[in-house]
Amino acid sequence: MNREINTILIAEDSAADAEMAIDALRAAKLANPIVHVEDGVEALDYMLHRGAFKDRGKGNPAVVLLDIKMPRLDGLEVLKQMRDNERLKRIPVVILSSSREESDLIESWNLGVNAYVVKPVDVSQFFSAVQIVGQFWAVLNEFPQQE
Amino acid sequence: MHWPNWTKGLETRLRILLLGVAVLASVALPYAIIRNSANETLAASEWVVHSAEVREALLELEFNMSELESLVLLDLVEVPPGERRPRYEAIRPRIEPLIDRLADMTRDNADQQSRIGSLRVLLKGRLDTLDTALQQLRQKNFDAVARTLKQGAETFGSRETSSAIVAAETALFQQRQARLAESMLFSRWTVVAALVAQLLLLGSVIFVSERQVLHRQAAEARARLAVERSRIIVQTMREPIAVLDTSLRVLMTNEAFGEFYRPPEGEPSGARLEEHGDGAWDSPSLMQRLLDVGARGRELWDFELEQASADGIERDVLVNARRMELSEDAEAAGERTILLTVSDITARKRYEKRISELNEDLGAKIEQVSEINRELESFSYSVSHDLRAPLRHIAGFAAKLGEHIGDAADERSRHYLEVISDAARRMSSLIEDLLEYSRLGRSALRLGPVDMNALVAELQAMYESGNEERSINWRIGRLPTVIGDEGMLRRVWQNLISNAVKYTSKRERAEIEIGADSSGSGEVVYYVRDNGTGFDMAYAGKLFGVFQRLHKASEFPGTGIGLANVRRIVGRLGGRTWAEAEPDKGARIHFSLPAVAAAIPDKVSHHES
Repeated sequence: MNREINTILIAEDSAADAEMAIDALRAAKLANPIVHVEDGVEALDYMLHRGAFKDRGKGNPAVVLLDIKMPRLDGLEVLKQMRDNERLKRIPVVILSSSREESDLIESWNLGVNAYVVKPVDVSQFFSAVQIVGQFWAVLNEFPQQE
Repeated sequence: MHWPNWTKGLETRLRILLLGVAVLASVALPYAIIRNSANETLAASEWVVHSAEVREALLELEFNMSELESLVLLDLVEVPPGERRPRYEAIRPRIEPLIDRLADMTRDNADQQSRIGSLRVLLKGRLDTLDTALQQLRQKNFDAVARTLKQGAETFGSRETSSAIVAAETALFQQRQARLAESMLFSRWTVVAALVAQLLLLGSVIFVSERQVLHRQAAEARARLAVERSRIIVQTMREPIAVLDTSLRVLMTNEAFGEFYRPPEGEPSGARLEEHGDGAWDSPSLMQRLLDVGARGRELWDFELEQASADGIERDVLVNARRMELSEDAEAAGERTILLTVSDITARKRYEKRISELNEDLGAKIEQVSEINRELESFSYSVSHDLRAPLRHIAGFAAKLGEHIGDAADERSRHYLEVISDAARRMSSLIEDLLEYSRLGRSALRLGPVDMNALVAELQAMYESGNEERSINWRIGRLPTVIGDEGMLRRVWQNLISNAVKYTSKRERAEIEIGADSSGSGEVVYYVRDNGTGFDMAYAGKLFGVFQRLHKASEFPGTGIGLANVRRIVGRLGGRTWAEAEPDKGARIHFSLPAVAAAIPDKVSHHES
């Protein structure tokens, strides 16, 4: 299986959360490069090779970790645009949010999210949750290769 | 229609027939009887006269015979017989016809006939004797005369026979007189009886006709009363009523009509409808519809109209009109009329307007409330998202700091880091609880029948499996099913049962009793009783408040949101919550739910059992 190593894209506006998540993923010793963007617009730019990411290499992320509440374009809107896009609609998306609100859960699943994880306050739980998500979607999960 | 009339006709005819029979019986029958008995009386009196005549004729016969005999005897004793001879010759021929007359008169009586027959023979003998004696006298043979006479008297003595005839006739006479008297008595009684019968008949006829007159008068009075009543009803109706002819001339109106619509000057009755009420009836389409009602019998149903009434108020009215079918005769004579009624719906219209205004207001208020709810929602959302992030960071970076310092950290630094993490965790759970409390207050109720027994059994199993080392004596009664939100009611039971488990944790033998009482009026009361720590009733008022705790956190952990949630849920389902307790004896927490909700599924479960 000759497989290109895809990135793990984290869209998270909170620097502290992002730092913790990146730390956790690094601690899991995954081969996938980690890309961090700070809002929804940047996330789409990355995936669609636009703006600052015009010149990045080919390939879709192995998994996208999306926060819901972000400036400019929130996570749910990003998810919606991904599912409407022929090239992006099969990329696994995990919502990583503080919100346990029913309405957020319902909308996420209606839009076809692959997993929804509520950020635990306990740091060790948070670490293990992010590590599990990374390992599962970036390593274990198989999905059809694009292009 | 025809059937009762026909029966009535038959009845009348029968009555007349019966009356005729009665008149006949009381007049004609006595007449016939009296006539008959008068005839009988006449006949009887004729018979009486007849008897007298028979006797008279017999006496005349006897007298004539005696005169003849005495003439012969005078001739015998007196010398010059000269002038007696013509007398004898004159009387002699009377005898035969007299006997014939007697025979004729007694033709009906055989006994008398035979007697008269023998009398005829005897008298003939005597006459022959007299004739012989006269012959002998002329021959001057006086001895022979005496002998002949003597012999004749001996041979043809008719006295006995005469007497017998008279006696028989007298007996007949008496008999006939008696019959006459009897017949007269009978006819007298008949007359009396007939008179009485006639009086009775007359009396009953008078009685019956009098009664009928009274009946008719009462019926007429009733009819008058009914007419008067309907007139009063029409007059006192608050709704204007008018009766029109087919060319819309007003024939009759009630008082309300007059109050609403000023009648035209001069002659109000017979004026056209448009002339009433200063132009209130000017609507040409209404007039056309009313003419249609008259001409084609089409009903006018709730025609809405705005009118200025006589008191100057602009009114909304509903006009109804229909052709009145009075009777076939009136119809045939072209006397069709239209009944016009007017209902004043001004007030109703005003209320409708007010209601729609209020509805608009209400809509605006609901909009406001929804707006507030939306704000509240976004506020909670912000709280849940934004308030928890820094906490996560505090806890996370405190942990990272601990790792970073590693073994170099002294005991005190480790303690500080611990306190920081604990505080963050605690605040996190407080926020979590607050969010849940707020969610319970605003999320929609999903109502349905909830089997409380199943809920409690499920939770009991859950708490037993988590506390195998403890000895808990559960006593669970029958819990009526209610209409409620199952998720919320699970939360209620979960809070109450977990409290009971928690506050009995220091007991050797914990007792938890769960039951319900539905005998109260209109509600079912559920309760959870334990023999745990209990609390002082002085603080009972704080028990159901948010984050209110009656025990030290070091003794029993918790944020103090549980019973606040219970109160909020039960309140939303229309019930109440309250508690009884004694320190160190245990507590009993009650909550009620409306029996309306409890009663319906209770019946369902009865059917199932």
